[in-house]
Amino acid sequence: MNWLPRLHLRTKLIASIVITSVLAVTVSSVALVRYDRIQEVANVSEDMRILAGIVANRSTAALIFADARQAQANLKALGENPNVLMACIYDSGQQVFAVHHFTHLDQKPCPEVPKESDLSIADTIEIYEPIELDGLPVGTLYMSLSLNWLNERWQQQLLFIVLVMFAVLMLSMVLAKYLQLLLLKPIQKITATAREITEQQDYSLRAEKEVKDEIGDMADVFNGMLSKIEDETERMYASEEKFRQLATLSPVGIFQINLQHQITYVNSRWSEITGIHQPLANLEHWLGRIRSEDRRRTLKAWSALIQSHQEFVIEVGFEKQDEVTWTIIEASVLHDGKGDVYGYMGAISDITDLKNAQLQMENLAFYDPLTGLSNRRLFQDRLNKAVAESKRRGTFVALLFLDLDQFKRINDSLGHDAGDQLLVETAQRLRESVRETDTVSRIGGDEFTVLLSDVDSTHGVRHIADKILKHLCKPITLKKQTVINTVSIGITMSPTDAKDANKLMRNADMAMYRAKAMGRNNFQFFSEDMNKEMMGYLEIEKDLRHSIEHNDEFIIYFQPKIDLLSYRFIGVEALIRWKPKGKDMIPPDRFIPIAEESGLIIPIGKFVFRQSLLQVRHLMDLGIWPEHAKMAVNLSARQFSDPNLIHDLNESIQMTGCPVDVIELEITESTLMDHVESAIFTMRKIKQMGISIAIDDFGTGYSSLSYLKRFPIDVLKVDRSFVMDIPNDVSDMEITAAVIAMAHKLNLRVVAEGIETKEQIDFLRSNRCEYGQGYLIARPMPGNELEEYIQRPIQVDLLSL
Amino acid sequence: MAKGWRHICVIFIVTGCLAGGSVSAFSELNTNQIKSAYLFQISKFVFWPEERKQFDHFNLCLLGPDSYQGNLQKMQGRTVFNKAIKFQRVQTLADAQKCHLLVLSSPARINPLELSAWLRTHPVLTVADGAQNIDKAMVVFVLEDQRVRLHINIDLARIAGLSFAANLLEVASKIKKGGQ
Repeated sequence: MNWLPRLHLRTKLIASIVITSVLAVTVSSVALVRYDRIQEVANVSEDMRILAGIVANRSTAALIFADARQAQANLKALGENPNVLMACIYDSGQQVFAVHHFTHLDQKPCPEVPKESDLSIADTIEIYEPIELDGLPVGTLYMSLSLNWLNERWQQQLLFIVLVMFAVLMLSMVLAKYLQLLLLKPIQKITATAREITEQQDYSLRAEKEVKDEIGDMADVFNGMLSKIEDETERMYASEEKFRQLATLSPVGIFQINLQHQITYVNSRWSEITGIHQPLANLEHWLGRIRSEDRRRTLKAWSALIQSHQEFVIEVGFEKQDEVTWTIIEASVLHDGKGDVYGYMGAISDITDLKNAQLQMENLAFYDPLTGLSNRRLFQDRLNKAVAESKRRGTFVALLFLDLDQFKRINDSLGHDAGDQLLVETAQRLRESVRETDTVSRIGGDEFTVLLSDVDSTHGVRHIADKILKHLCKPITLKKQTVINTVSIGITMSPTDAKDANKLMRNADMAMYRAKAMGRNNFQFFSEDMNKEMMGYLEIEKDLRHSIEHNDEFIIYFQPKIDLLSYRFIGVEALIRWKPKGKDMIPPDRFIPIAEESGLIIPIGKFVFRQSLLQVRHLMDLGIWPEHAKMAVNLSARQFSDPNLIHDLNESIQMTGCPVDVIELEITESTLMDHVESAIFTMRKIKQMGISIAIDDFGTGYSSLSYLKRFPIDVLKVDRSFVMDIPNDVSDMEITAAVIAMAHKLNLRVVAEGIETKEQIDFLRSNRCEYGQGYLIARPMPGNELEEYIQRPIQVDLLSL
Repeated sequence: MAKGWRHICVIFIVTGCLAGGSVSAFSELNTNQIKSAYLFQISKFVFWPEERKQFDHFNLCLLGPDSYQGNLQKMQGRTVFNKAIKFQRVQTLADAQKCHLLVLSSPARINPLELSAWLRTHPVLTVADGAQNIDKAMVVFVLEDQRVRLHINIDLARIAGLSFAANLLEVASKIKKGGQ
């Protein structure tokens, strides 16, 4: 049946009509003939049965009265039907009673045994009709009927059917031809239109609707489909145009690659980015332009895309002349309407600027922008690596921690520009002093580190440290001024001193402080003693924290001050004493620097200030605090620079209810000189509160007269180091006299500290120093003793001297 | 034996034996037996007026001597038209008023005109032997070629208001009708 679909529709249509017609005629004819035969047989059978019934009935008496002649006469009556072949009558004993043949040829005897009432139809119709009398059988009539006449009838019918069929065949062919024209013409027109559209690609053409039947509907649907295709095509063209414009204007390079790895489409940006201007290059050619470092990774991503359709985003560089263009390539597979992959599409973005910015940021993150040295972060990383490497290789690492000795002074005096220049020069000199493989870092302010790897012995390290010291102390010109800068170096070795980076840093830091303490411009190796000292430091810090939490281990002592002329009590200086629980009293010069360093001085200072004011308030309440007497409280450098200072002072004053004019804050000269301008600003705020200010330890710093004039201070305290050598050290006496004179010129009052002898008092009195303080006058005492002391006629003791 | 089966047997015997039609062929069956069997069968081909069907029995009467040698009595108990045969001997025609079938065993003593007049009011089938008695009997048994044959007088039957089935007429060897 494979040939069937290949037939023309015209042939199929004609064939189907003709075959259907012939088939219909044949089937209906056969059915009719069959029906006719059945009907004829039934009719004949029925007629014969009736006839048989009549003859049987008629033959009853003949049988009953054994009249064979009559019986035969009855049978002859059947001869009126020409198809009857023979007839027999049987008596009740099933013996043939009478028989008659209606043909001369082929005469058959009666069946031997009659059947009961029966009708059998085969080549002949045989009828057995019982003969009854009064409901009881008395015999049987048998009849045999020929069906030859039926065959003759069938032959006639067949001839007729053939004639009819021929006529039908002719008619159906004519009809099919007409229908074919009627049906196929509109279809052929639609086909012609479709062919024309295909050839001309003109979707504006339409099929003509000639009929209003299903083919007319088909023409409508076809035209509707054409309209849709036309719309879609227009939309597609518009979309394609949009895409083309977008692709042209896109800052992103766009590419399409087929399954044979040929680049089938790129926009101009793609060529600009990749540097490939040759059209329709293949993928391998393109990937060949990728930086060799990125090539393997890129090939891997592409093969994953090609083999398992894994889309990718990858950062790669393209080498163009000497420059690298950094890009991000994204690619994914392209699916057609059936979901099959027919290629790959992707985009390439130029991220060179971004990459450079990133590199710059990385640079900033790991390098000091001023000196170009590695910063703390990178240094720590390298230190970790160097320590790990030394462990692995069994070599030594030396860490040098450097701090410039005069940086702050130079920065303050010559300005930040000069400070920066100094740092840059120092960095340069450091680089020149070490091997290229060694790491020089600036880890903050004026702190530098040098990491020496693969060190054999301390001897080599010592040599390099010497070299650094010598190289750095060479004069340098900053803002047309020649300055000499020195450096203090702390050195530690791994793995001998420590095996981890943090500990090494701590060791080097300690050693550097030791170098500072040893007079600066030197280097010190870390030792276990330093560590022990550090451990002691840490323990004190821990105890301080505990004591601050509990507040009961600090004791405030008060050392009276007197007027050196009248010997009258003019105030006290509050001094802190600390006795941690279960331990001996720890002197202030031991724990105050630690508190200062760790920042714990802030809560301690607040505590001292508050307790001192409470003490004054108590003495005022007792009515024994003399008018104009001052409670002097020391203010450390850390406290002084604390942004909460004014707030904390106010809070304590309000809490204690102590009058402000009683309070005097003692600030060391060095504290004020660290940041002069901000110090003046803070002092003014303190003064605005009504609090007096005294400069403590005067003479030990580097106060210039111009600054001193601007400081809003009330009192100068001459440092005990000057007083203690009176009258033995002439120069100290001269300095003291000059300080007193200068103070007076500035309208400041002077307090001399550390008075322990009569001579000292005499000298001070002779130089008109207003106030004195010292063991000779009174030792520091607790609050309850101060209560008694104030009420005592103090001058009595002194006068007795 | 059931009544039905008895009838079937009788019919088989009668028709089976008589189908041959020859008396000699059945030497064991004498003529009287055949005639009495015929009487029984003839009554089935005769149509009596409706009033006769109302009777409870089928009355078989014998006027004259028992020429059937007691065979008629033997028919008593059989049924015709679903009525049991009742045999009775009568002395005169007057006695035979309620008979269905009257066997005239000595017809010579019967005046045909008197009989004819009586039959006009009494639908009784008269049966006699001998062709010469055709004027007195509606059914006459004659012996032809050693076979018992029937002669039928339709005219007489019509007087009595009786009719015969065509079948019966077909087997009659002579029919008297229209005076012939």
